[in-house]
Amino acid sequence: MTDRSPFDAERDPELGELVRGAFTGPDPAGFELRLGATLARLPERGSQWDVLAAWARPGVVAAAVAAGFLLGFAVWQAWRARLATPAVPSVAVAMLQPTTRGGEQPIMYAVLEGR
Amino acid sequence: MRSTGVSESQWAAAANKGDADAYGRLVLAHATVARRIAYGVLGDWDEADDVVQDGALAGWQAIERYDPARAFRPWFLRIVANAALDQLRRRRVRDADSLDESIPSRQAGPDLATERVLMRSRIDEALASLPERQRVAVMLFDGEGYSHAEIAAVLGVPEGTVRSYVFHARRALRRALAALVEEPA
Repeated sequence: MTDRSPFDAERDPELGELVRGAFTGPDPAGFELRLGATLARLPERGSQWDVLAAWARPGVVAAAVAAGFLLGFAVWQAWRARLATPAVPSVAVAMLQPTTRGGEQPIMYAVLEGR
Repeated sequence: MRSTGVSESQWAAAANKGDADAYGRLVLAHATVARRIAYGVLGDWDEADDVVQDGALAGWQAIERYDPARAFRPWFLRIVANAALDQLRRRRVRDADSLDESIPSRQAGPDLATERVLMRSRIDEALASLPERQRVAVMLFDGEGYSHAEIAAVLGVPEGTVRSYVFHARRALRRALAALVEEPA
């Protein structure tokens, strides 16, 4: 064993047996039993498409809710726009407008009359 | 793999499609080697057993990413090796100790008189002194008969690196055994 070169590409059975002996753990049957119990409790997995389909269902519901909301919003906006058309005033707006610009002239007259 | 008339590749294809039973069979077929790899990294059988369990669950979570056209064994063993290396990193951070201190070095007691037991003890000490990847590489190469290429796939390193690991590990082990032969009785 020790006269072999470490460069050997062949397996060294004698060294291998010693190494394997060092790597033999306690209670191998118990280990397999425990691992088997874990593996027996693995959840069943579906395919990738099943996973995507599972994700898609809530997605479709969310899209439908969003579409309904948008539609309702659009209808409401249209209704508001209709209400917002300018109303015809009951009194002629032109009559309320001042005919002269500025209010300084009457004050000026009052001052001048006093002189 | 247990002889059931179904090849490993067929089990692997079934596992890839979500067959838990097929996956379980595959894992159990390679569980002993997986346990040795985990022990090779961690140097503790209890931790090694936990890591194999975790690796089996992680493999199941990732089974869709496994290519059934390729061998299952290196894929699964790599998951376990990575899980063990992660666990080792966590332990090092936790303990802030060196590897030599963290891996229990089993000293041979004075009552172990037979040559076989002494040799085993010396091998254990030599293995414990090796870096974990060298330990796993020599165990898989000389102990399990894996090819360099397969060990490279398991450890996720180039094949040349595996050759280097095996070389250094063998040299250390042989030195330890040669020293045993040269020691006066």
